[in-house]
This record gives sequence, C-alpha cells and structure tokens, in this order.
Amino acid sequence: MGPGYTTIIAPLAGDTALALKDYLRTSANPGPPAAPGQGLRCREDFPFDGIPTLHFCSLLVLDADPEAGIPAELVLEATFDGDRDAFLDDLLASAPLGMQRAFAHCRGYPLAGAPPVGESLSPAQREAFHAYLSSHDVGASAFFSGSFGRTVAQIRDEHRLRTALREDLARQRLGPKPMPPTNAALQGSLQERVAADPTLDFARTPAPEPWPIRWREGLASVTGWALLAALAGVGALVLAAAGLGPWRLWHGAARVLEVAHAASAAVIAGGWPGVGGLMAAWPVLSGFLALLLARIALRAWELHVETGSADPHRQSSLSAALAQGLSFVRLALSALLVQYLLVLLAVTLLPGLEAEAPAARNEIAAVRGALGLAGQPGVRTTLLGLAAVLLLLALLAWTAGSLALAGERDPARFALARRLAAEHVAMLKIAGLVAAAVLVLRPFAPALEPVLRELALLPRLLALAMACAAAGLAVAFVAEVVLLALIRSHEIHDCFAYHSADELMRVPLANDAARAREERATNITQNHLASLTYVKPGAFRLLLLRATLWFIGLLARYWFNQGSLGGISTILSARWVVIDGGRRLIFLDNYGGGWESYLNEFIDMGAVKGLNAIWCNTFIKWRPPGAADGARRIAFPATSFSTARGAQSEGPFKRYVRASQLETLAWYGAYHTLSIRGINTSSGIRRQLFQPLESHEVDALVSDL
Amino acid sequence: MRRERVQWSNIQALVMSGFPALRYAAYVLFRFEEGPPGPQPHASEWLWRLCQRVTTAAHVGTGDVPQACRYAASLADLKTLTERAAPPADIWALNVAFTPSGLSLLGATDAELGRFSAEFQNGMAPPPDADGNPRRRSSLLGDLGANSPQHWSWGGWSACNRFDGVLMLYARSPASLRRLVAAELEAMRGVASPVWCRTDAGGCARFAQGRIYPRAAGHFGLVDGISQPVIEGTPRARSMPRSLRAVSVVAAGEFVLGYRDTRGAVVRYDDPAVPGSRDLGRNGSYLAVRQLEQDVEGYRQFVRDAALRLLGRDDQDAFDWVAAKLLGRRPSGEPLIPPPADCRDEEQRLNGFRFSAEDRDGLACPLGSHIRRANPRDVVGPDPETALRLSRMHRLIRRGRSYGPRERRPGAGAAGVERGLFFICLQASLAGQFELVQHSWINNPQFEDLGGDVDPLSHVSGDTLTIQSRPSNLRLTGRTPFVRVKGGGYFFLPGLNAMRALSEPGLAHGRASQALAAH
Repeated sequence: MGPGYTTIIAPLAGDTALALKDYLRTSANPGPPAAPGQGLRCREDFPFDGIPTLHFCSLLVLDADPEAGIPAELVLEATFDGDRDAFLDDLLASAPLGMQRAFAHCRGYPLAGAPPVGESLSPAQREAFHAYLSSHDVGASAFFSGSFGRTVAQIRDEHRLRTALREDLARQRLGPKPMPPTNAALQGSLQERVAADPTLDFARTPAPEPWPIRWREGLASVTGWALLAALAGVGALVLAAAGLGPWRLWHGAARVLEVAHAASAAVIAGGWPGVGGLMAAWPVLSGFLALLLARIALRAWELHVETGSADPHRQSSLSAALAQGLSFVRLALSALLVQYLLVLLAVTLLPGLEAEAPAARNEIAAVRGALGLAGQPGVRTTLLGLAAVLLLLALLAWTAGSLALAGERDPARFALARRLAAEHVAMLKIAGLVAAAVLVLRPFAPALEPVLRELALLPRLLALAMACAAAGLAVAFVAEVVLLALIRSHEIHDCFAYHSADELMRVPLANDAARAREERATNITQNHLASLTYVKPGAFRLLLLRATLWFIGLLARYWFNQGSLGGISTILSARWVVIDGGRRLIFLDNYGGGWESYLNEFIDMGAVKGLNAIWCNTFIKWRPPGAADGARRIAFPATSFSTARGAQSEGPFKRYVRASQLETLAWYGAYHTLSIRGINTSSGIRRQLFQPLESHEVDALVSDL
Repeated sequence: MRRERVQWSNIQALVMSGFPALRYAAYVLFRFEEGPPGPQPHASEWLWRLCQRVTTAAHVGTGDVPQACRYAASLADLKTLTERAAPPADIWALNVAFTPSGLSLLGATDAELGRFSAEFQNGMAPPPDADGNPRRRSSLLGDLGANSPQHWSWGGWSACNRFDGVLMLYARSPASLRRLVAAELEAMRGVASPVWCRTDAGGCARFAQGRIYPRAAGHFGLVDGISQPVIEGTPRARSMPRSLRAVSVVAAGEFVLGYRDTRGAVVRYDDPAVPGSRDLGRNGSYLAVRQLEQDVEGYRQFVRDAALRLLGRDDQDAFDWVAAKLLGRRPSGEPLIPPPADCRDEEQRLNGFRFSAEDRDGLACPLGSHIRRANPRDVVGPDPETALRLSRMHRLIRRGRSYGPRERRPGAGAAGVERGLFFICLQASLAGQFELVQHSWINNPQFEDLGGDVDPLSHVSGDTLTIQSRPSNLRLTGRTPFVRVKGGGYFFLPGLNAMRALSEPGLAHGRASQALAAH
C-alpha cells in the first residue's frame, strides 16, 4: 500500500514563534552531506536518519494572524512507511530532545514544566507525548506519492542495485574481456553480478506490488461502468417521472417506426411513381442516415474540442465542458441507432410483429415489401444480398486497416479525422454484420422465431439501457451547467471583492531566497515548497475546495499512482490540508528540480486545470512594502469556470506562489539526490532483471544502466 | 490572432545579428561619474547622442551595416563570411546595455525599476549571506567552489563589483576597433569611465576583447552558433521549411519585451493606472554575460585520455569522435543525427533534426551531450509535440565570442595566457531562459535520468560522463573541469524608445539651465 503520512499542527502557547523558528533553523535543519553521494547530515537534536522508515520530514512555523484570531502554529510534516503510531514512536525514540524542545513552545504540551531529557522518555511521558501528537494530526485532504508503494529501504536498495550494475557494466565494457555475445548472455552476466553479491540478494525476488497499482486499469473501468450504471438509474427515474416508464420504452421499437413513418408518410403519399417501393423503405433508411450523420457531426465537434490543441493555453474550457456534457446527446443518438437496427431485425425476422404493434401494421408491410421480404426470398436473392454485404464488410475492414496503418506512420497527421472515421467504420461494421445475419437467418425465420424473440431481448435491453444512461447524462449535464454558472458568478463576484494578483507584479518581492530552498546545498535535486493560503469565505467555496481535493486525492491514489500526477512527474510527495476549521489551505510539497521549472510544468501542461480548481478557492493576505494600511486580500489569478486561465498567466501566478510560500525551516529527505524518474527506472530494472526477457527488452534494460 | 508588428528600428541590432562579418569586438564595462542628485544633463546628452550611433535591428541587412551582417543563413555562409578578405570600409556596430544601477542613474524611478525582473535587480552574483553562504542564485547557476563569484575578476563579490553598463563595440579590423573604442571613450569622458578588471596575472584589463575566429570555431576547435532561434515574423522565419520552423521559430516576446510570447502573454513595464507612465522595457531584452575561461590543454588532455580508454587509440579520428560525443555535433558543426537522404536544404540538414523521433536513446547524439542539454528540442515533456512547444520557451539567442589569442599549435600555448568564451545570451526572462537552462538542463545531474553527469563541455562540476552505446553504455569517471567561470553579470539591452525617454528629462533640464544662464 501507499506510504503513511502525518501532518501535525499544534498552536504555539506564547509569543515565541521567532525563537522557535531560530531553533528549528539551527538545530533541526540537516546540513549538506559531508561528501557527494552521502546522506544529509542530521543535527544532534533531530537525527532523522535514525528512522529507517522515514521518506521526508519537514518542520515549519505558520505565523499568527491576529485579525482572523489564528495563533502561530508549528507544523510537522512526515511521509513514512508503515502506520502512523509506529512512526511517532520511532520519532519520539530517536529525537526525544528535539521533539521536546520544539513542542515545548506549543499550547497543551503534555510534558510542560519538566526539563527536556536527552535520553529516552519514560513510558508514561512517551505515551502522553504520543497522544498529544496524534490528537493534533490533521492528516491530509489529498495526498500524492510519486513512488507509491515503495519503502525507503526498497528505494535505496534498488538504487544501489542499479549503481552496482552500472559500474560493473562500465568496467566490463572497457575491460580486456569481450562483452557477452548475445543479449541473453548479457542479462545472464547481470544476474551473475547479483548472485555474487549477497547484499543484492533482494533483487532475486520481485517487489510486492500494491493492489491499487496492480488493479489500476480494472478499477478505473469498473468505476466508469458503475458510474454510468448509476447515471442510467437516475435516467430511468427521470424518464419514469416524465411518463416514459421502462415498459413503454421496452415497446419503443415499434414506436420508433411509427414516428419515423409519420414524418415521411406525406412524401410517400405524394407519390413518386416507380420509386414508390424504395420510398417505402425510406422511413427506416432516412432515419438511420440522419441519426448517423448527426452523430458524426457531434462527434467531430467533440473530437475537435478534445484534440484541437495539446497546448492548454489555446484550449477553451467552456467548449470542453460543453462537449463533455453533451456526450449524452451522442449516447442518445447511439441508442436510437441501435433501435433502428433492432427494428430492421424485427421487421425482417419476426413474422408476427404486426400482432405486437398493430398501429404500425401498414408501415411494417410497406417496409417488408420495399425490402423484397414480402414472401420467402429465393436463394439467388439471398446470395446476391449476402455477397453485397460481404463486399461492404471487406471494404470497411480495408478502410479500418488503412486508417490504422496511416496512424502508425504519422500519428499527428489528420489524427482527428482518422479517429472519427475509425469510430464510425466500426459502427457501420456492426450494422453490416446485422444485415448479414438477417440475410442468412431469414429463410429459417419461422422456425427460429421463438429463439429469435429471446435473442432480440439483448439488443432491446441494450437500447433501453442506453436510453436511460442518456437521460442520466442529460441530468448530469444540467447539473454541470448549474454548477458552472454558480462558479462563474462567484468568479465575477471575486473580481470585485479582491485585489488582483497583478498588483504583486509591481513590487519586487523580498526574501524569496529564504523560501525557495534551491539556494542550499541540501536541496539541489529535491526541493520543498510550503504554501499557505486562505480559503475564500462562504460555504460554496469551502465545499468546492473540499470536493476538488477529495476527487484529486482519489485520483492520486487509484489512478496517478505510477509516478506522475496529471503529467507532472517531478512530485515526490505532496499533500493538501484544509486547516483551521476550513479557513486556510496548506500545501506541503517535496518536488524534484528547480522552483521555476517546476511551476512551468503546471503552467504549460494539462495539470494546470487541477491546480486552478484547487487554488481558485483561495486568496492571500499581502502587505505591500512600505504601505501603511493593513494587509490586502489578493485572490488567486482569475480563473474562468474554475479550471481555465488562472495559473496560465505566468507572472502573477508565480508571484502569488512566492507570496504564499513559507520558509521551510527544516527539511529532511532520505534519498535527496534521486528523482522520481530515477526511482521508477531503478524499480523497473529490479522487476525485469530476473524475468525471461526478449532481446529488445534486454536492450532497453541495459540502456538504463 | 492579429499579427503584431515588431518595431525593429527601436530594437538594438544584437537581437537580430551577432555581426559575423565584424570579427573584432570590445566589451567596455563602464561606471557613471557620481554627480549631484537629480537629472544629469551630461549623461542625458551622452545617451541622446549615443542613440544616434547605436546600431538597430532595422540597420541589419541595409546599407548601414553590410548585408553580410545578417544571420549567417547556413554553415557555408558562416565560413565564407568570416574568412572573407579585409573589408573595404570602416564599418562598425555599437550596442549598449545597462545594469539596474545604470538605469537608476540615468533617471529611472524606483517604481519603474521595480518592474524589471527580480533576477536582474538582484544581479547574477548577489553577495553571500551573513554566514558567508552563497545565495540561491549562485547555487542555481552552479557558481560554487572554484567558480564562486568570490574568485571572479568582474561582477563577483570583490573588486569592480559596481558597474553601470557595458558598451559592445564591433569592427572589421583591430585598427578600426581601436579607433572605435577611443572615440567612444572620448564621448563618455566626464560622464562615465571604464571599469578596470582584475586578471589572474595581477594586471588590469580595461576591457574584454571578443573575436570570431576563422570557421567560427572556438578555442576548443568546435564550430559554434549553428542553432539559433529565429524570431517569428521575420523574412527568414517565413522562408523556412515547415519542419524546420517547428524547431527554430520562436515568438518575438521570448526575446524582446512588449511582444507576445509563446504563451500569448505580453510583458509591459508601464502602469496602465498612471497615464503617461513610461514603458522602459518595451523593445528591450535581458542579457546574461559570462566570462568562461577555457583550459584548452586540459580539454585536449581529457579528450585524448577518453579516446584512449574508450577506443584504445588517440589519433585525430578518435579525438574527433570523443569531441563530437561531448558536443553532440562533429567539430565541423555537422550534426550526429544523420539527415534524411532526400534533404536538400543546408539548414534543414544542420538543424532540422529532432531527438525524440530520430535518436530517442542517444545512440547517435548522447543524451547528456552539450547540444541536447542546451536545447532538448522534443525530449523533455510528456510527448514530443508538447516537449517541442515547451522547449520554445527556453531558447536563448547566443551572441558569445571567444577571447584571448588562439593557440597556434597544440601544446604550444604559453602558460598564463587567458583564453575562453565571452558568453552572451539574450532573452525576455532571465529566470525562465538562461537560469532555467543552466539549472534544469546544463548543470542538472538528473537530466534524462543520467544520474551524475553534467554538461560535458561547459562542465564545471561532477565527475562522470556517459556515452550511450550498444551493447552497453560507455562510462567514464574521474574528470576534472576544464572550464571556469571568471565573471558575469545581468544587463538590460534597452530599446531606443527607452533610451530616448531616459535622456529627455535631463536634456530639458540642461536646456532650461542653459537658457537661465543666458539670461
């Protein structure tokens, strides 16, 4: 399972924030490694490296906000293996002095009065301290880990394995002995290297894979279907309320025919002699073609919106939301198309249909006549028809194959048109197969009727389910429109209620060096970012924020558990916590690389939507330098429908982040020189090393060494 | 979107051209004389007159600066241009850039200065904190240890820390350059004086001299300056083949302030709330200047050793092979990624390649080679198209030149002779371009998951080198740096509109006092 985490936030007792900050800076913050390749040099008071299960730990102090009545608070953030209580015990056992000295500043500190003891705490003391810490643990509203399911030991071991193999291979490559002649032999030599070193013995067995990773895709599709089923349930209820109960829908097949005929009856009655027979079939065909064309047009627009530009700066969120919402229309169209095929099946295969739908008796007869189905067809007609259908199917198969090949050759070229064509070719294929089935089965229709009636249940059920789902999606769409309208109205209101983040652009922000930690030799590869923002007042904003965080937390755990969060693959461990009774949001983030490039990734990629959706609910209190008046409330750069724009205005966004950033007073990382990409690659090497591999897989494995 | 017109006549020429035909250059750091507070009529007058001498981008390719000064359209042009016989006339070019203190002394208000980027205001080498630890910027740029600003000969923590600007003078011959420098020093007499810089030998150099050597090759014998971004909307950008355009053409706003950048944003330095406020940024560009000392013998030694260890021989071929793997191109500038067979366009051949599609594994052009780090093209990102779009936001216009005498014969260089690269790059955002490239790519040991390597050519730390190969990668350890940072600074290359705007109040003041005196 994923790593454990704790976020302990304790209010300070007195006005000692400055002293506490000073203490943490000097006595808790680990120093740079003594030599390259070594771990961080922990201080005596806080030997973080003595806790073998600890991934990351940071300490910071939130300043008091007298205006809002919030006292200064001490924050301890940790990501670790195993459960929280074991970790807290470990922490109290290895850093008794530091923990006492830090938390002695806090209100309600259980060991107050007693001088800090350097050795271990007495069991009673430890229990009291432990209880205090766990009672102040606020956990996280959403949590993401870039190396989901891997323990500190595993990450370190796998890195050691990779380094050992890499060095060995480099020596072998430049040594006097020739390299193994085949890739299989090369893999064998790597395995021998592991066998020769008892400390690498772990690599012989594959690492356990947590179930959210193993079942990731299955879980996602099950969730998707369940969601659709729930929507269909809602849809069925809505339809029933509208007088279209399941029973009426069930008999819809005949009704579709009636409706379609009513529309074109006039045309037929007008009489185009000679083509009368064909025209009689028109109700069926014209309806089918019209529905198909409508679906193609809708889908083309949807795809255009979806894939029009990979550049989030050029995407329109409103049309994306509309396209997503309008998918119910597409589903409804598809349901009608299925109905049409069903009608075709019924009319041709069920001689007793008239009895079931007496109102459509004439039409059914007309269609049968037009399709030449009035009597028993000759063998010749059947064979000719079958040949035509098979030719059509072959043509469709050829088209589908060409489309796939063209896609392989140049994925970017006509991508949209290709996808559209492929989808509808597949649909036409189904229609063709249905037609073929009709032709083959019809001579046996009278004998098969009871069976066919049973079988016809399936497509009927499908059509019914699709109709219900479409209705459910329509309801969801209405809800979405209402929600978007609500969000928009809040956004417009906020433009007037808050100062704009553009104001931050006008003054150079002081002290940014203290906040960004790239300045220090401890944070060259990995960095820490702590940001504190206020949640905009009102139940709507808080609800929206909590819902967004809940959703992102869900995604982070069950979908984005392979190292990247919405395309951002530099986050090691991040958490969002709504604190102070929903008044503030704290974001604690261990990330790889530099501040500037890290934020750029959000600005320029799809993940900007998630970021906007979270922080559009926040503002900061900012005091312009030299201004006499109080703090100004500056809102997050204006978003539109909560996901668009916002952070995409680079300048104001970066200033906003800087202004919201707190100084990370102490930071510890157990593997401070590794990147998420490196950790994942090392895991992959260990996973593959003892598997039977193809030659090209060995190539890929060795190229990572 | 509406096409925007770039005011080329207000933009200094360095944005458009590196003046390849003007092979001799001098960089004169200067400091304004301290005067009484308030407008400085002399400085204003100097600046006003300087505006008329500054070469603008509109001059490039017209009669004022010969056609040859335009971008070298191809490698062949680059060679013929720089090897052409002595020029007929005394042709020169002049550009000027300022530091924050320079802009302030010229009359930019604090509010106006506050709009310039924080990196520019803090400088390339902010002094260490109270405990003597280097600041964030120094570690971000890799200026630690032997490269620490502590040891710099200019722009560092010690001597000649303060300078207000730099004059960049370009001429066709040494004599012509001498005349140009003398004339400019004369013109600034009483207004500003050149800053003297400490050299290793103990003496003082008045200004750095830049050279373009034959074949545009630097001291390491590698042809430089082939891949340059091309500004959108210029004739050259329009005439490019489509595939090359995707690699090379970048929005004007990435280099010149006041125009749309890749994200579609426009940076403005005026205050819309205050009528009549000046936009001192418009048409300007930020300059990052770094003096990189190159230890040619150390470089040769390293490449020879590497050739011996990797290939078992150290003849010229082996030497060139290793050098090419470090740079990512052959020393002649030819790319290591073979062009398509039907490629006829010279520039397409030299510069049209993409890494993701053609060499994802780095078997031709190593993953950590210099050109891949400086411009990863379509590699760093979730997919190649996105990566290419992202990389366009981090392009630099490079205008660097070599300094110091060329080593005549390998190994014959006299000890104590300083030579290296005077690196100059132009961009609209120091943080997003120069600093990001430097920190996230050039000096990043995790770049492409290499685990320890840094840029092999401008390399200042780290001790491993990986060359991707089959059946397994070639890895060397135990390297010593052969490049050292000797100085550097951030400057602003203002537009002519800003220079005129800065000189006007002082001029008016001067005229007023003259008129007063006449009464």
